[in-house]
Amino acid sequence: MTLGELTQDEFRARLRDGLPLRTGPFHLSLRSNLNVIAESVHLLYADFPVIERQPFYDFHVRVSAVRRVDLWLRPLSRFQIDGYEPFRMFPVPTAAASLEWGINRGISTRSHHLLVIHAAVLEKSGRAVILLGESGSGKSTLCAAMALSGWRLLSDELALISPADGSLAALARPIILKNESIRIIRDFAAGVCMGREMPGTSKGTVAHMRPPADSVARAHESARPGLFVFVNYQAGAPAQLEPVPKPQAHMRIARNAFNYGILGRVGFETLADAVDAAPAYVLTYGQLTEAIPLLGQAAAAQ
Amino acid sequence: METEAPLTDKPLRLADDFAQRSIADRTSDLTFPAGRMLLEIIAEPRRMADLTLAEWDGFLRMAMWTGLWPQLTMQARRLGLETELPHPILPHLQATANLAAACERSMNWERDRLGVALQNVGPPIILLKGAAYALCRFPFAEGRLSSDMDVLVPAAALPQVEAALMEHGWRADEENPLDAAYFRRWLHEIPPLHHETRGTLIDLHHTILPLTDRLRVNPQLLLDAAVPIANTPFSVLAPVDMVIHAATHLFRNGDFSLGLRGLCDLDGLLRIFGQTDRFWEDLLQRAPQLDLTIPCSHALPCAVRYLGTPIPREVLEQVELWRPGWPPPRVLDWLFERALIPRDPLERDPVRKLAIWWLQFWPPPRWRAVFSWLFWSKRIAGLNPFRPRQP
Repeated sequence: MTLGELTQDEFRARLRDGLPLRTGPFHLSLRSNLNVIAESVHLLYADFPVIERQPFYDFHVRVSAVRRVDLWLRPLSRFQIDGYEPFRMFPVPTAAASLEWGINRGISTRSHHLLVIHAAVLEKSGRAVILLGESGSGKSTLCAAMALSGWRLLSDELALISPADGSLAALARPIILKNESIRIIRDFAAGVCMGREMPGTSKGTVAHMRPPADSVARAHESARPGLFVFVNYQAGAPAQLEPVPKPQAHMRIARNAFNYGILGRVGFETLADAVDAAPAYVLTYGQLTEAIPLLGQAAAAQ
Repeated sequence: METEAPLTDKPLRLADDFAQRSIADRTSDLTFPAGRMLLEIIAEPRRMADLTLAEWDGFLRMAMWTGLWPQLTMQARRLGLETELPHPILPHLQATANLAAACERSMNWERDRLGVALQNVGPPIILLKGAAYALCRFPFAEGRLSSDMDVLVPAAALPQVEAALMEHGWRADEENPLDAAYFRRWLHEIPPLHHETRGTLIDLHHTILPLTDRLRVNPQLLLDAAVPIANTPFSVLAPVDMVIHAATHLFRNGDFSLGLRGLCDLDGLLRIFGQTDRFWEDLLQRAPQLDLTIPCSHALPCAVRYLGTPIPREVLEQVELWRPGWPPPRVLDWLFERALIPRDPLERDPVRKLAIWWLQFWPPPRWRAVFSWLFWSKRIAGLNPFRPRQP
C-alpha cells in the first residue's frame, strides 16, 4: 500500500501522530498539523510505501504552525528536525519548501558516516551520473528532465557515497525546482506531477516535482559512480561534453562536498576511488533534449 | 600537568549517602524519564549496550541536545560497545566519531598555529576550557566538540597579542561598533577573532568574569598560578583554578543551554584532581581568594546531585555556608534542575527556556554597568520592533 492510496483524512491523521517515512538509508518520522504540508506530502510522496511505526528514527521532523497573536494576519510555520530549527520561520504557504530544504539540511549536517556531496544523482543500467553545479547552472532542471526520461532518480541534491564500498545511496525524494525551471519542466513533460508553486521564498518561486514511482520503489538499491558531470547551462549552446582531468575533478568535487574536510583521509580516499572509477566532464547545454541523450551515450560508454 | 597523580591511600569520604545511592534513587524526583535515562548513562556509559532500540530513539536525541553525544560516542568506542549496540545506531556512532576526530584535528592545528603566531609574545598564553582539557588529554573530554578556542592573557598584553594574531590572519569578527565597544568596556574578552582562511574562532580573554559582574576576580592570581605544559608554548590554569573556572563559567557567567555538558566537565575535573594531595583544602582556600565562593557553592552540590561526583563531606558543608540566602536556594536549585536537564527536545519546554533566560540575567550587573550608556545602547538597538521578519 502506498501513501497516495490513503484517503486525505487517514493521511492527515497519520501525519498528526508522526508519519513514518523511509528515504533510502534513513527512517524519518514526519509530523505536521498544517494543511499545506498534508496536501503537499500526500501528493509528492504518493508512491512511498506505507510503513509501520519504527522503534527508532534517524530524524524526527516536524513542521508546525506558530501560534502568536501578532501572526494572525500572516501565519508562520516552524521547521524542526530533532528539536533543532535550522531556519527562521517560513510563511505558512511556503512551509513545504522548508520541509524539503530542512530534510536535506538534516542529512547533510549529520551524515558524516557518508561522503555527502551537493549533487544530483541519476542512474541508468547500473551507472550513476552525478550532476554538480552551482545554483543557476541548470543542474536541478536537468535532473528533473532526466528523471522524466527514464533515468532512475537517486537524489536531486545529495550524493551520498559510502566510504565502505563506494556505493551511492538513493533518497528518491521530491525534486526542488526554482523559478524558470518550473515552467521548463512543465513544458518538457506534459502532465508532470508538481506541487503548488510557492512564490516569495529566499530563492524565489519554488515547486516540487514528484519523484517517479519506479525510482521510489527502487530507493533501497544503491548505484556505482559512472560519470561526474559539471553542469553548465548556456542559452542556445549546443550540447557538448568536455573531459576534466581527474585531479582537477577531484578538487572541484571536494569543494562541492559538505563534509570532505570532516572525513579527512577517509573523505580523500573515498572521493579518489570514485573519481578513479568514473570520468568527469563539463556539460555545456542549451537544450534538455540534446543533453540527455548525450549523457546517456557517455554513461553507456563506461 | 599531573593528570595521573598518585592516589591517596586514604579512601575518600563521600559527600553523603546521596552520592552512594543508586542513580535511580538520586534522579527519582526528576519528572522526565528521558533526562533520568541520560543521567544513568552518563554515570555508567556501559549501560548504552542495554538500551533497546526504542529507548535509543529518545536517548540519542537527548544526548545530542545536551551536546554530550560526541563524548558518549567516544566512550562507547573505548568500551568496545559497537558490537553490542543495535544496528541502526551504528551510522550515528560512526558519523559522530568522524566529526569528533575532525574537530580534534582542527583544534590541534589551530593550537599549533596559535603557538606559532604568539611565539615572540612574552607573557604566558593560557588555554581555557575545552582547549585546556584537550591539551591535558583528560579522558572525560575525549570527543568534546568546541567551536572556538578560549585563551587567557594578561590585560596589559592584549594589544601585543592582538597585533600578533592580526599579523597571522586573524580578524575581528564584530562589525557593529556598539557591540565592539561593549566588549572592550564591559566584558572579560575582546570581540571574537576569526581566522580569515580557516574560519576558526579565538576568544581572547583577559579575565574570567565580565566586568559587569559584581564579583571581582583578580586575574593576576590566575596568571601567577598557571601551570606551563611541557613541550608546548602554552599553560593551563592550576587545578583548583581550573575547577573554579568550570564552576564559574556555568553558574555565574552561564549559558545553561549546554549546561549539563559544563557540569560534566566539572565532574570530570573533580574526579581527576580530587584524588590529589591537598586539592580540597586548596579549593576551599582559593575560592574566597578569587571571590568566587558563590558559583562554587552552587556548582559543587549540583555536581554531586546529578552526576554523583565524589566530594568530601567537609567540603560540601563549607560550600553550603557560602550559599547566598537570596534568591532562596530552593528556588535556585529548581531553576538549575530545569535548565540543566532538558525534557524531550521534540517537545516545547517554555519552563526550561525561562529558567535559562533567568539564569543568564541573574545576578544583576553592577550599578556602574547599568548606568553606562554603552550597556543600554547595544540592547536598545537590538530591540528594534520594525526589523524585517525574514522567513
